[in-house]
Amino acid sequence: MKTYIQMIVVLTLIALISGLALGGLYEMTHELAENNILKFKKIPAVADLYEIANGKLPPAERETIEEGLLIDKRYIELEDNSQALFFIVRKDGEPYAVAIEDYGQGFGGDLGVMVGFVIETGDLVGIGITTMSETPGVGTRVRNKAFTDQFQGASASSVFKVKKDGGVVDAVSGATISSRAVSLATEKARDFYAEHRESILKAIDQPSGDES
Amino acid sequence: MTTLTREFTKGLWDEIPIFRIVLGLCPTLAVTTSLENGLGMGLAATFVLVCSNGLVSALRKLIPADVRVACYIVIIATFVVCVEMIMKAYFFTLSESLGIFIPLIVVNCIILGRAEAFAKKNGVLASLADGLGMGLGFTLALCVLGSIRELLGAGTLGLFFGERVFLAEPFAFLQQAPGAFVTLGLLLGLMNVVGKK
Amino acid sequence: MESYFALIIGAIFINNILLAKFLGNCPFLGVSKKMDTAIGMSAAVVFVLTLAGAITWIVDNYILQPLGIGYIQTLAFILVIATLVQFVELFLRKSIPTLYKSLGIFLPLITTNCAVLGVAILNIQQGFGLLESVVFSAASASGFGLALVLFAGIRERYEISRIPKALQGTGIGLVTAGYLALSFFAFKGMI
Repeated sequence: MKTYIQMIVVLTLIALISGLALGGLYEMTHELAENNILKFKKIPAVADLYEIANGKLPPAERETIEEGLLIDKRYIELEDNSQALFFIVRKDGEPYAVAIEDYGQGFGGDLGVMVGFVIETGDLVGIGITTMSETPGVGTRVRNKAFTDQFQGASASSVFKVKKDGGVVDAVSGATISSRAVSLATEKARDFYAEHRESILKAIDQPSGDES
Repeated sequence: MTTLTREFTKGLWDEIPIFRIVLGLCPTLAVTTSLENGLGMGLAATFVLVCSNGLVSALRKLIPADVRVACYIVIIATFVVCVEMIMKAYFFTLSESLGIFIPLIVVNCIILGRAEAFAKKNGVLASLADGLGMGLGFTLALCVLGSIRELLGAGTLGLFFGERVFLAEPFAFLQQAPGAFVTLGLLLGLMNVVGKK
Repeated sequence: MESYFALIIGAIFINNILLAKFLGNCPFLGVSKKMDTAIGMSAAVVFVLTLAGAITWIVDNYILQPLGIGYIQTLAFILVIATLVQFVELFLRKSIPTLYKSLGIFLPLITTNCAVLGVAILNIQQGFGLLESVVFSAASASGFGLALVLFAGIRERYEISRIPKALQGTGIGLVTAGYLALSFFAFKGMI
């Protein structure tokens, strides 16, 4: 009997202490970690869109631009009370385009695409891949310029589907599923922008600041 | 040599993980595409190994024998989650390239193995020394494998040099999955030749 | 339907967990010397991994996420898997002794088989639904079984071959695994 009590007490104590320690550490680190996801995954894709709009940047300058883009983000409220994040791409200091991230189901889970829209027309600036876990050497080729460049300047009314499915996108050969995922994400982002254009425009005029 | 130094040094040569004790192969094969990744993985595992060895040894008189493995798993997993969070916050790019193999440190047989084989019957200091030695031995093995695969497979050694240092055409096979198996197999053979006294 | 087909083919042949993702290598080298043990281990892994895939998905979606403690995923999953393996062992011993006889000795090894925890984490990382998780887990485990059985078939022949002394045992095993992985590259163009 005594050993049973000891077993339960020891296991509970260890689990309790571990839970408390991890909870504490999480509080200390999660903001940094979330900021890292923005900084290392989303911002480079936004900076690529910035380069499409403004021309290629030297590496040193790109760093400053990336820092600026990180601060220049906005949130809009959605119907279900959640928040959606978007970035502002400026040209000559004025807001020129917005970048919105959306996802499609790829071969290895969600494939994230950052899509830039010219504010005035809603046409595409271009796209950049943010996250993916596709098969190396096969699905990962959707990240190549040869594939992503075809989205540059595409009209807002284009059908973003691979040609096999009746759309305008040239799929990477051998990576149809990944190409479909990118197309779907682009289409979702396009629809999102069309639907929320009003609130996005309003949010651009407000000063940046983290979710209040 | 005092016992403490021996506990420490045995992990570096006589019982060096991977080469002498073939355990913990998955991360060894998966993350050694570059020296930097190998070093990062090795140090992360060393941290977990030293902490868990120390704690298991400190609690060895409290933990009832029947539930000891469950306790070890909780202790190890706690430290692994710590490493996960710290890496995501401070070493983000490294944590991205090591990916799923950071949480998988939990099931690295070396760590549970040392808790069971050493820490549960030895003092705290000796266990710490054992953990540190084994951990660094593991790191060393990962670094050797990582350097070979990066240098010959990609022609670079990113941790030290920015540019290509290996001037012949790199042998890309070594960067890919089959190359990992073959390189490690040949290295084991080499260690068998060198290690025989 | 087509996407499930792609998921299955991908998990078995293209991203084989053993040969392309490096999960579960310890049992791969440990139990592949004899065909019987390789088949036993494969069956045990298929069984546990499919169950574990479903249960960890449910734990993640209905316990961890609603409570906002997704960060202890690793800790929670390994405990779930360890408990599950214990239960499976008890259950088999009591109710299906014949199956227990053939799988029993492999079960304790499965807790520390990183393929199980690895696939459970991948299910969540890749944002799968419950059905997809189960399908992916089962397919991954079958891929594990396929590679293990093929490998055991090759390794059995080593008993009668002349192998350089230094490479005997694990060394030649790893080299062989490398060439097996290379042959799996041929499947890459399938999808």
